[in-house]
Amino acid sequence: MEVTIQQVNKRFGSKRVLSDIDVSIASGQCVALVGPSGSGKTTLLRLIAGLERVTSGMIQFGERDVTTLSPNQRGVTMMFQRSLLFPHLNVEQNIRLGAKQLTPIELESWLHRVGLEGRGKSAVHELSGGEQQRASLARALASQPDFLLLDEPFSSLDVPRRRELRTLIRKLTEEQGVTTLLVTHDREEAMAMADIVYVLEQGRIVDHGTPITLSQTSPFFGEGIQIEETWHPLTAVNLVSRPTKETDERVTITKELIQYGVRFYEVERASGERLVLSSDETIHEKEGYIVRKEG
Amino acid sequence: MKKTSVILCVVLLFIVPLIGLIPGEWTWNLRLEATLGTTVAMICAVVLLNHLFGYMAGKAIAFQTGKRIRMAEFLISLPLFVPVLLLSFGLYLTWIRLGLADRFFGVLLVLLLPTLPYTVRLYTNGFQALGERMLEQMVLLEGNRFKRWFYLTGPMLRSTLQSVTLLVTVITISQYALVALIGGGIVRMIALEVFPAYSGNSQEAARQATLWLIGLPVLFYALQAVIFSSWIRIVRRRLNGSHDTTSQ
Repeated sequence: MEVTIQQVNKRFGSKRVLSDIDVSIASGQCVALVGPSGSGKTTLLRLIAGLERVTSGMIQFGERDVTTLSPNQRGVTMMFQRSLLFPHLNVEQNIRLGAKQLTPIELESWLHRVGLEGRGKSAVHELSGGEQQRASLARALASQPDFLLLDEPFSSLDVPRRRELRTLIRKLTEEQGVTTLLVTHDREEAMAMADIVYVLEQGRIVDHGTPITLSQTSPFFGEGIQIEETWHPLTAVNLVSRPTKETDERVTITKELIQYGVRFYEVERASGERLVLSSDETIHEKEGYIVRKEG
Repeated sequence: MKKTSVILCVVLLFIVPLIGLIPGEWTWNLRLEATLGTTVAMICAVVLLNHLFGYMAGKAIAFQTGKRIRMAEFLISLPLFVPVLLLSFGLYLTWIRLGLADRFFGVLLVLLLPTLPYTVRLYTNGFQALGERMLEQMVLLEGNRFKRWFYLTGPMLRSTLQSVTLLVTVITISQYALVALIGGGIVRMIALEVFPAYSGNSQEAARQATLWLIGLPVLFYALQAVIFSSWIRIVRRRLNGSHDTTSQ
């Protein structure tokens, strides 16, 4: 589902927190909103979810104007910094809250997908922080939402768990074709997850583009780097690429870059055109290709 | 050893005095029946109103900011700083003018004064512990207000609800001066039986009334514990079996 945010403004009393926000998210795309604390990114997320009302402007989900609709009428689900699982319910029951019509087989499948096989009957407090976030992800996606909102869902996790959850979210949202909006102040997360990144500062969008472009041009991402100088040519021995279902074209991986902990690959198409694809840890599908480091 | 000492302390401090309270014979008369009926009705009404007002006020204080909210919080807390008994005569005169003196409703309103500040404080703490994000997650997961309360908000606020009920019951039941003054001896609650029995040197009556005074809050607490357990069992069963019911 395509999401369009047009000329959205938000005031709290006399204080203007968001000014003339325009964001466009293509169907199935993952967009990250980044910016320093207090830049208004969480407020924008809450406006999209319907938890706050816009002062002016319009929010559209597909052809539907949802600006004045209540949160549950919008078909969105949300993951917060904490898992926010309900302790009086077990893991299965928590997941069912999002999708009460789930069959036992579907439920089992969700537990399997998020790596919680056999933990369905466990109490919430018996899960680790990472497991709780995965259960929360299953709850968010089991209802087959059109739009998934992520409010810094990795911030309470350690680095390995963050990467694990990032990869899992990307994999599952791509499988389901769910449009995703991630709010974060972490550059690495934005680079790893997003197809497009919007940079917010003092309630205004000051920049947007692909992660690799912004990493070179946006002040938010530091001084930027020159790809030509820092990219290391690869022997391609330990890298494989294969086309996804949408394309039968095989690409050649020519260079690799690790920026903010995220791996990027420069690939060459048969036509000679070069693309930059990102790969968070092991699997990341983008633009019709899976690029993977093996061994 | 440590465990034994604790058990011994509990027995000595709570169980032994209770044994001493057991009356030789239980008396039951129409007056006691009416008093107990009024007491139970009053507890139910005060608890209900406390939950109603306390929930709304506590939620607002927990999540809203601004001078008006802080002022409201201060005003609600005033009876904690100014003993209600000091105001009781003024209240009594006002109630007479309003035609509320010597009436059940008049006593009910007065009993909100010593109870509501605690209720609001408990609800404020309960909502703050729950957190705004948790409430928002509930809204996103369940659109229907009743279902949301039934499945999520109620069970999550269980300890607050139980504490409010217990505290309000205990405060309500032990108010002697306010009930005596505003109720004028016409609205009779169990506290009005206890104190005269003690001062009248009627040990049997005092023992019996004291046991009612202790027993009613215990009874209310046990009753709500049963209600909550059943409630959460139903929620879990519905979430386990919701597929079966929808597929029928």
